[in-house]
Amino acid sequence: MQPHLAPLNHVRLVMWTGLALSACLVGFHRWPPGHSIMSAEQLLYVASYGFALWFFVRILADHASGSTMRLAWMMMAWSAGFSIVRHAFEFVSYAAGWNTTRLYTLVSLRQIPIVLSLVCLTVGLLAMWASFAALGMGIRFEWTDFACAAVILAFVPLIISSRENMLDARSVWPLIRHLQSASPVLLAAPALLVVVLHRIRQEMGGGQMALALRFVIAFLLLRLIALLAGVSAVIHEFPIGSALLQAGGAAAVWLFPMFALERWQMTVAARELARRYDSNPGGELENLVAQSEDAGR
Amino acid sequence: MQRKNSRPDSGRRQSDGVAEHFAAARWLEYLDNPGADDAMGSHMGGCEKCRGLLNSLIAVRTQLASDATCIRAAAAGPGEIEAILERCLSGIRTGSRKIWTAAEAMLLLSVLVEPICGRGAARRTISLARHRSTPPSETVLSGRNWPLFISNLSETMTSICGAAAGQLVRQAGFSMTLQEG
Repeated sequence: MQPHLAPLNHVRLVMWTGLALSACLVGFHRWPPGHSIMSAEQLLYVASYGFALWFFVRILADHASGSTMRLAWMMMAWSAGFSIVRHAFEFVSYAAGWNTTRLYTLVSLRQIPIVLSLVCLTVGLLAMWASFAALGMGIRFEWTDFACAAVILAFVPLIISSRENMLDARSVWPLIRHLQSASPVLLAAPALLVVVLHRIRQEMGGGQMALALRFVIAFLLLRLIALLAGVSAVIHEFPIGSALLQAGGAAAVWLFPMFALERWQMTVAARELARRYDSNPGGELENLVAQSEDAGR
Repeated sequence: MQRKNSRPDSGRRQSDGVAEHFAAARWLEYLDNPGADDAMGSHMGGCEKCRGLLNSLIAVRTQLASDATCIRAAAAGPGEIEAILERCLSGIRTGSRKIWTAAEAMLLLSVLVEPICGRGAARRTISLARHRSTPPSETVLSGRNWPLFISNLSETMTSICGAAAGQLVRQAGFSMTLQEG
């Protein structure tokens, strides 16, 4: 166990606990009948995106000003920030009872931070792709990648056809209705980037960065599936399946800060190793030689 | 041409297990111009201890030259210069300094960055940095362009993995002593 990573391991444990709690709360949110515990769920989401924001701000500080990767992490930090606003607003809406009295007016304003968050996330992922593309990664695709992209795109018309079931499709404000209608496309755009990130992850061939990418890939895919589960009339006929899918969607929210945590762990580990090279270069080089000999065997 | 004594300098002490058969001034002179002191040259052929000391001095000089290039490139402050000197002294004290070929050193750096960015990304970043560091007339990286290679690799690593990873590459890369040429 490496002592410099101990605080991060504690945070990781908290995140897994949050993930399990969120999944349980949302999975059973219809039980007992008529009882809603969604407001507690919103607080967990706020905590989740709070963790993500905290790590993203530190990660972006690890990149040079004006670099594409810094832009990527900055946009993800903004995305997490807008998500915090959205879920805090939803919590207040539930607590104040607006979700029954002002559902189509005040509450529907949540679409604004939702859309802003998705746009920032998409721009962030595009910037990340651009950084890897400069090294020649994520620019050549195989037929399986195109097949995955086709499957993801197939979700979009399916969700659009069920848009009357969306949260704010009946808002009194046309702008909010338009934003809500755009959400399947806005969610599909980052989900499509999953294909690119998956290709980059494979080309990386392991390492801490690839592990971090695995979390964001799972986050984006599960969210799309959860949206489909939330709006599809067919799935609602199978309460257990619906509950499981929605629980998966709630759990997915915690994969976003886990992505940030894994990426930040890379910085912490690299700093510690650089410090050791500074204090005892000879000893560290001997370790490196031993590692290379092990790798060669 | 001045004929020098082929025998070791008289009265030199033997301390810390290091052969000190010649005066410090004569060692420095020999390091600067080995061809000018035939006597010392023939002594090196027969004395293993002096040969070891000579190799060690050459390694330190190579490291200092490499670090000086690094300092000039980065316009290092006094603290950083102190750290580099400390690294040199640490290497001398531990006696662990080894001279690597560029290929060996690149392999070691690859092993260093693989846990961070993966084997594929390590290969690409090293390949890109090597391409940027060798002039069109050369195909193989040498000790001469090693500092430039490390700077380029550090920059590439920073672009995707952050400044901490780039700094790690610099620390490790400049800790290695490479064969000249």
